[in-house]
Amino acid sequence: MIDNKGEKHFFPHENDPQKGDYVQRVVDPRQAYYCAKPGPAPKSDEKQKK
Amino acid sequence: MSEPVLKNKNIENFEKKQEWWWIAEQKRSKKLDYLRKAVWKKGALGGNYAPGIKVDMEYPKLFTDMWRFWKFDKPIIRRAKAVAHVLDNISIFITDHSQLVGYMGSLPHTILWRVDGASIVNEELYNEPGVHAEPENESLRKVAEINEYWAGQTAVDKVARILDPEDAVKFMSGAIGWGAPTSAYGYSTKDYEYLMTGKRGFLDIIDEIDKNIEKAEQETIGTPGPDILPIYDKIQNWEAMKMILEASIRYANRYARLARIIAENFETDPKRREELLRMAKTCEQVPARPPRNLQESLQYDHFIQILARFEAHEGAWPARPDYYHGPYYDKDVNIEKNITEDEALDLIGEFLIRTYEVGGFAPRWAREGLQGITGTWVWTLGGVKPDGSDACNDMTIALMKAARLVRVSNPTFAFRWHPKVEDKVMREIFECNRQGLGYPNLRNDPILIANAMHWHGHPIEEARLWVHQACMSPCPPTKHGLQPMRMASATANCAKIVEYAIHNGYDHVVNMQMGPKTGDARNFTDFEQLFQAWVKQMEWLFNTLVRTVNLGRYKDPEFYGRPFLSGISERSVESGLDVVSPVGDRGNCWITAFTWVENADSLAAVKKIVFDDKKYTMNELIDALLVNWDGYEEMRLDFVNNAPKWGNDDDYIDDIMLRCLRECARHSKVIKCPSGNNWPILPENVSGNIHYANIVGALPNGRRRGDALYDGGISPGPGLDKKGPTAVLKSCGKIDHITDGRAFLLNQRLSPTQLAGENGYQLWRAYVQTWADLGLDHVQFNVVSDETLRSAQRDPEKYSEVIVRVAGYSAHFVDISRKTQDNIIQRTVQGLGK
Repeated sequence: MIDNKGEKHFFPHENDPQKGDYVQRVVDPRQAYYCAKPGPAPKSDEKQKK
Repeated sequence: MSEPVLKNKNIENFEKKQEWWWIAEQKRSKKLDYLRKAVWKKGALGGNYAPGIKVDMEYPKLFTDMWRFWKFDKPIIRRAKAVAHVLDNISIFITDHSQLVGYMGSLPHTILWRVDGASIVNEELYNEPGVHAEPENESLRKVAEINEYWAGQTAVDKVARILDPEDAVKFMSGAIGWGAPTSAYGYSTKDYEYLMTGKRGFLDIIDEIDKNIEKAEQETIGTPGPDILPIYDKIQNWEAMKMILEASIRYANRYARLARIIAENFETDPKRREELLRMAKTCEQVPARPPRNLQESLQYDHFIQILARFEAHEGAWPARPDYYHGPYYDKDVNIEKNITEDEALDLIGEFLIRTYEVGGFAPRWAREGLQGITGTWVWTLGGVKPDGSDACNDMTIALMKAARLVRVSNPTFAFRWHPKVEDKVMREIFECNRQGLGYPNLRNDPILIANAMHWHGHPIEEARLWVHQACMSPCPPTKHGLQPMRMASATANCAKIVEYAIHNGYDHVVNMQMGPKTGDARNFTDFEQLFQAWVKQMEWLFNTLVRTVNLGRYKDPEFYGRPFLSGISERSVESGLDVVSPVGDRGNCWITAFTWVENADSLAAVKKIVFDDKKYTMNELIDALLVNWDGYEEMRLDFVNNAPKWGNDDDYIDDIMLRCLRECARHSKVIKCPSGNNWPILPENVSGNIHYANIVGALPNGRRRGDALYDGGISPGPGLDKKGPTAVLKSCGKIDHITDGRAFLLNQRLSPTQLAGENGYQLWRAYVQTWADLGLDHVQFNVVSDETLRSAQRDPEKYSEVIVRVAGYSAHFVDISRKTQDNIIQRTVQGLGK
């Protein structure tokens, strides 16, 4: 079973904080990894990380 | 820092039982052990994807959305924009313990689906069980939407619309050929001399392109005339190249950023943090700038291969890793001592694993023909430099050591043997084969250099640089030598030649007139009539396939477009032409001849038993063939046992083989590629002998329809070579491996117990010397006992890392179909020293 329910952490770009990457920890049946997907910044009431 | 860990003192026991995979597990570092076991296998198991493998849906959506948006752009620009959009937005990942990055799917267990290649593949994907992510209905809905958009406008759709209808129907019947005539599914050599000699990175190429665009733009506002008209297209091509190279640099920087994020926010182990920061610096350096050390060199190479695969399927992986990475290995390990040999082995082992994990969705016929793997990744080791001196280096040895540690079935190695190869290198090759990897196979370098010059006119310095274009055929990775689009559709099911010669061109399996009418063989009164019918069928078959392939190649810049491949190729950066354009390409084509030896064996059987011995008439033979020998078992066994078979040093049949080959060689110089060069044949099989088992009818060599065909190339039929290994070599040695064809695959199975110890090595060396003296160009070895293979059939989980040489590739034994497994077990085990 792929465990990708871990929290997604948003990391904004330095030159454009409204855009960044959502980074998530995933553990699948064979390996563990961090994945990143670009996206817009979350709304202000959601968590952000630098 | 890595350490070899000997966890279990029973290594001697494993050696005695030849269970090399357990030894590898003990000997490899913790890091390599984790990474090896972490891989999601993408090769199909007997034709089906492994459980858990899913089609990636990010790529199809990102690509299609952008392709739709830029509908007024020409294909090369449209493709550059669409692929750039993918590179900027697809999910990326970094596996724990890894030091190298880059993959074409969004997640490790996903396979890339190329949406613009062929509608029939898209339809097949929709119906493929088990590969759609949950919830399946939702995935299928998205697939259907994407399919609806692409229907009729994929590369194969476009070619099929202008192909001669009769050619199209016959090609699509699946009886005579294999593959698709588009660079969407082709495979390309890369211009390594431009890209991998440390002189430039992508920013340097972008500079060159900028200068060319500037000069060209000046010309377009100059004096009007016909000369300036082609420049407009060139400017667009250059812009496409620049766009994709810039996107590639951004893609690498995304990995650098992720590595830093992990190091700074998540990773608690200081050593791993250091590794991640080093990975970040590596991805910031390459591919933008040339590599400076081994890690950067390997990463640069891997990025190039992954980026090419975002653009096209790339069914092969031409590479010469010891030649191009060797200087960096030498610098890091020997001169500056930046890393230890073991640390280098970790990097190189991971480099192999990163390659092994690569795979995309392939149609079922491709999966059945390439069981267990995702493409023929044959890497070229050894050989000579342009000045003719030995090119082997410490990286050559390190690659073979790493291969024994990680035991991947892909990439495999092919070693360019020449008379001055040092003994220490030969011992490494021997050890890899003895430990059951099925590689490196051996290529006779002097023969193949001469071959490349003979057939395609490559100058000697370029010919000496050759890499494997796919499994077997050499190609120089140079400005005018590289072949940007070798399509597997120039692959002939050659057993059909003799079948059609006997049945007047009619195919009783697909029930249609396929070949020309060359006469009712029932009325043939001598062998020559049959042979001349064979020649006509051969010419027809090769003409049909080559016409298709030539058209696909000629139209590819218009129907497809390769901005990335063009951007890393000197002749494209210089000329502004799509690299697939035949202009500036010397030509390096060949026809892969599947199911080849059946022709000689069948013709010899007819000649001997019907025309010489007059034991049966042609009428009786054809009646028996039409009912698949059913009710004619005694007659069938006569044709099996009492007709000469190839591989026994018997001039009766060997002469027929030579006649067949030389007719093909003659015709190879008549049919021309889009660059005006020759189309020599290359007998080899991958696992086409299984794929075609039900498509080829009964044959005069005693074969029934449904039986596996021979395992390919010029290998004798399994169990039919009865006079020992020297007789096999002597038969094969009667072929002129320079002028009779492009190359000739030879499978040999050797006994693992006979190869033990120093005596085993000397026996093998003597065999190799005989092989070289007889002028053969290729040989590959299976060194695994029947006992091990039968055990693996009973208990596949315990034998998951047993590797066998199938044909032009190796595969894990447990990943191939039972029929293919049995076919390998049937191959004669040669006793050396006879």
